[in-house]
Amino acid sequence: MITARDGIKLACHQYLPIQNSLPEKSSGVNTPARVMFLHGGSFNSRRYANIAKACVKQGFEVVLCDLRGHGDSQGPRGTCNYVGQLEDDIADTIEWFENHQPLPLILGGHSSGSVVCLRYIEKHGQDSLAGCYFIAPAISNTLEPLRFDEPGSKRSFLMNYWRKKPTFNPAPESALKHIPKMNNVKFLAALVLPFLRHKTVMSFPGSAKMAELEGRVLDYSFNMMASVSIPKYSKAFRLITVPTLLVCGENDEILHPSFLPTVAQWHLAPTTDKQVNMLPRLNHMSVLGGATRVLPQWLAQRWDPVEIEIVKAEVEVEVVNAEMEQVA
Amino acid sequence: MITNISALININESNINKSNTGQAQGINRCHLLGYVSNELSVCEQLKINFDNVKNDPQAVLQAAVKRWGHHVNQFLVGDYVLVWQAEEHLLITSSARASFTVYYQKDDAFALSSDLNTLGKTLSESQLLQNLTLGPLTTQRTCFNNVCQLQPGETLVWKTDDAAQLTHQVQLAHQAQLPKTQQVELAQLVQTPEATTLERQDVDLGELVNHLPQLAYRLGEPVTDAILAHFDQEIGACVENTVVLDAKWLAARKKHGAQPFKQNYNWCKGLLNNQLSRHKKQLKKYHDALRSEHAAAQVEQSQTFEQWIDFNYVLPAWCQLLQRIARLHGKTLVNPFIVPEQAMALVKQGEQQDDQPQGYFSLQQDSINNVFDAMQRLFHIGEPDTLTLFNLNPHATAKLVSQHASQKNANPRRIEQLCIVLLTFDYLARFNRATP
Repeated sequence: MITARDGIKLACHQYLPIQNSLPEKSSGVNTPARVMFLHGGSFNSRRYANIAKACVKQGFEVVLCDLRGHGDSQGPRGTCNYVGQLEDDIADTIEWFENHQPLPLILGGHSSGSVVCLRYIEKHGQDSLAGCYFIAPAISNTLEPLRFDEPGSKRSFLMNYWRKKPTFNPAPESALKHIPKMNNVKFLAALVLPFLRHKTVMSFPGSAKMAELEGRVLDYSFNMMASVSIPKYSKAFRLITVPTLLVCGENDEILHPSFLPTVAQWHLAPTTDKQVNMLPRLNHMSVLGGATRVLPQWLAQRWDPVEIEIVKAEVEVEVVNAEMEQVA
Repeated sequence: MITNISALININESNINKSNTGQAQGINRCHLLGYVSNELSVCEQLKINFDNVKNDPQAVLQAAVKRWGHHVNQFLVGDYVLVWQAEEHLLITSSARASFTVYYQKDDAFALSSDLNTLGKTLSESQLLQNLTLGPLTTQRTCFNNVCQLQPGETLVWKTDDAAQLTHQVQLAHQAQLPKTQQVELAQLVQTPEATTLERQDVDLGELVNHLPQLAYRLGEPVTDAILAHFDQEIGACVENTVVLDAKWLAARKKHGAQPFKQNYNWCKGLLNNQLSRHKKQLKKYHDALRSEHAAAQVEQSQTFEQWIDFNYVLPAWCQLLQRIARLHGKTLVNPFIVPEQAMALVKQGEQQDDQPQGYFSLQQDSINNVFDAMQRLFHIGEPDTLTLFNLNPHATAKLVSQHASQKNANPRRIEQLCIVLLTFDYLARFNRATP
């Protein structure tokens, strides 16, 4: 548990290659870098244990972070004190690990966890980062990244572009069950009246019973929703100078298949080391299976692959402060 | 025929510094970008046995520049730019109607390069306005204030105390350009090498949009049409090192009718801020000068202003642009349209309205791949440099984009072209490749 600047305890699940946990060796000697992972909206770290194990097999230290109000972290469920508090929590977590064991840090996440990573880069810079990765970054509060049109898309398009939307492509039923629903009235009310910003404005699909078993948070307040949103994503992406991995499933229910290639070509600097992996037949959640393969490869290609091969032969995984659960 | 001896000329400070260590590299050598097609006749005139030098093009070129000096481009026929770096001077010359390009710059330091990116530069607002209204035309001016371009048939001689010290004390000693009539006569003698034709294949529009920024970045200037990115993709994928230019790649060049200047300008003036609009007079003056030049030229009665400007300014500029893109891939593009008959046939064909392409993109495309939407989004995410030059408020841009679908629109492609110029300009401004 790491103490955030407001005193809340944040849970971090650290996965180490076995050599590093031996008492006679100092931690991190054979570890080329530390991979920090931020979970997607509504979920928590439990769901991402397989990705952590795959990276550990390549010799990397992995830290799965539970955002405040999620998983084992303290804080009221589904809300935060102010917009931007999640980035401050990440900064506190990074600082804690840097103080205990400095290592090159690769920060990223899945879905809205990627968005928090992007917001962190925008707010705190990337001096502490050696790389970053974005798995299906759920940038959903502007129109163009979205695969399907929402009911209010025509109105939003008219307000933004001052002309009629030429096409309308609604989401099919199969996709709707994965897309969170926003209550526009409550959102606008919270926008105008700050005291409503802890009230629910967005709900994730899923049964309450299953959510309880999985430790999921199905309702987000205005503050939490705004903390996992980034309307001017272009301005954040263009700041990135460290190696960057972008991964998405071609059947993602939220993101347009051209979005990440567009980000790579138009918004990331031409000199940035970047890789885009569009994984066929995978959707917003099943992309995690593909990322289990792609992310460790990308890491190994960039951070000390020779040493990792030696480590790989005798690798075992030790889990510190985490429950090992199979991915649902 | 001398082929495949093209050299990327890049005489900048770092190269010169290397040259200072001992015998200067490249001194008393000819650098040829392109090809010469009359080497046999040249050898006869120079009284050199062709069999002895056919594997040594450097010997022929050096003998030619020593014999004919700054008149050498009247004797060497082909499509090339030739640079001769001698002890006390630097000669740069290009063949009549050359489709190869070199840039030079003389501010604090002299620089000569075939790559715009290697030169320090500041954006020329008047040239940007010209690209938006008249399209690319072959002139000495480039998109940048302090960078000039060698024109087809032009020769420059720079005098210096020491060729290894080109960065200092360089003075222009000679400047001349072959008259247009002589260029046409010389171009008639060119024999283009045989090579595979580069034809147009179908393209994925999503990939095409995403290809625009990297092309702009490599060119070092905004992209004026999506067809250039299409060409870049095709030539990059082509396995041949030398390819022949197909006429279909030239269809997107901007056609100039007999209409007055204001018709070229008015359609986009709503998007131009004062910084760009103040160059309107200068541009009109240039347009009028072109008209006067056309009137003064001894042209056939049948050669209209549209044909004349296309033949002399528009077509060569497009060929130069395509040639530069080919060079970025290390490939030589054989341009059959330097031969006047071929070019005139294309000019006459270009007047038919059916030949006017409709553009690549439509408003119905998904917003992420849609250049019209992307251009409008610049209002929110555009660079300050872009927003200073262009009025991108949604009302102005929506009005313009709506014209794209309008049946009354005489040239549907030009709004797409405007969007592409704006997007690539913004991209370059974002990553500091073009500083207004």
